Amino acid sequence: MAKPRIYKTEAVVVRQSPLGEADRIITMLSPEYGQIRAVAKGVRRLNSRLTGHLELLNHVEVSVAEGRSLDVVSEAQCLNGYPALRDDLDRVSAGMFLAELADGFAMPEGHGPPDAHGREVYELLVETLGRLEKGEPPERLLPFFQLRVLAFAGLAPELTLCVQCGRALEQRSHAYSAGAGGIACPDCVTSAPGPFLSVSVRAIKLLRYYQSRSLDEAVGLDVPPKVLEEVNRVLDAHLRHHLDREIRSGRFLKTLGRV
Amino acid sequence: MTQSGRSEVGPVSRLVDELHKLPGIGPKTAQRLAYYLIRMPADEARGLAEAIGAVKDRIGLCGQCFDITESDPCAICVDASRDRARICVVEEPLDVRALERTRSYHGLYHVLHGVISPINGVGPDDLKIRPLLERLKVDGVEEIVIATNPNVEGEATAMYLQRLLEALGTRITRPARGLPVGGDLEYADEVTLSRAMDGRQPF
Repeated sequence: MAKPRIYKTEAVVVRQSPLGEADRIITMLSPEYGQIRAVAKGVRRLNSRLTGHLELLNHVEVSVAEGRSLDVVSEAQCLNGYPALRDDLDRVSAGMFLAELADGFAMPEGHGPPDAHGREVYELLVETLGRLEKGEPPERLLPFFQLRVLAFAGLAPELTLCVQCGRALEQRSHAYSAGAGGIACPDCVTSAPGPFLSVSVRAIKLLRYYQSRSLDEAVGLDVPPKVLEEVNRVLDAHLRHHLDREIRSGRFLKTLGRV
Repeated sequence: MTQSGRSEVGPVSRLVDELHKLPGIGPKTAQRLAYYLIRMPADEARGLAEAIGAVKDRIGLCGQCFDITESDPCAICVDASRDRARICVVEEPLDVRALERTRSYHGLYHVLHGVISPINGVGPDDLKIRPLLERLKVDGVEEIVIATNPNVEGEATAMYLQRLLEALGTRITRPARGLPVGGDLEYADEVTLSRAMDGRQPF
């Protein structure tokens, strides 16, 4: 959608970086315009009227004016600041992970196909942040979110057919090949590109469950931590392969698990 | 801005390039500053050069609180009149200066040199957190004031520290949050406003 000179939209703040003396560049995801990068002037001063509204992870309504190189935020109103999420280290870290991941797959305005699934990613992000705020378990929301965002981008891991020969997979543990983007059957493992991870039947089934069910069903399913750990390892490898980098917030989430 | 070098004389273009490296200095400002320096009296310009040299030669980090200092330990850490039972944890040396200006805090400091920022790949191991834990083992500290910035990353750092320090049984406090002096109620976001209402004081 082409942007008017001054546009108004809902958005979620996914990244901030300092600029000059008191400004910040705010990266936001919006339903209509995809990724927006705009300068928030004077926002690092304590008495700026924008400050609290443009915090990281805030769901906001903003007015943005088109600038010469970067756009400028002229007004911002916080719609949901997720106060409970902010007060809990595990949940706020999970929120940052969601923001980094959604931003990693986001297309800036005019760079992707006309409907680059920006709206779906945006809606899922708002929904998942809302559920984290309500206290739903991050360890079940995160894998679901990752698989869904990958699916929107057309990068979902292949979990029912062998990635090499295309035959249906038998019910047993298999090898996941990051290079081929899915599970390879025992006959094809040698010819599939690595790196590999071995995955148990239960982990494969859980991945399929998350891939095919709704968010409510995903949250409702009680999962043994060991299986979840396997699923997370596969998702880690899959994301790293497709984004060509690590999701940095993921590293902090792992550190937290050890404190 | 190396292309400016082509039209300038050697030393001038070098000065422009060096000034351009400073934060907030664009190519035009760098050029303007360089030409101002050229016209400046020689002793003033040398004074500036010496001042820059002096901070690089003589300023280091305090081995205790990691504030920037000329002597190690720093003046605050050796000051016998300061309250040694209180340590205020801040993000940057500039935060120490800001708190010192208030003249209402008389304890010691600990500078983390950053904040946990998972999105930018800054984790707890990149900050001076381990030395803080070491410090708490020996000193008779009664209160730790976690004065990180009141934004998401500052809060996350504070909560992370709280989780680490809880086991020590030391009292952990945070500065109050509320309305800025000279601010406007109608422009306050709801988080600030609700925290301000929660923390209201008898009048």
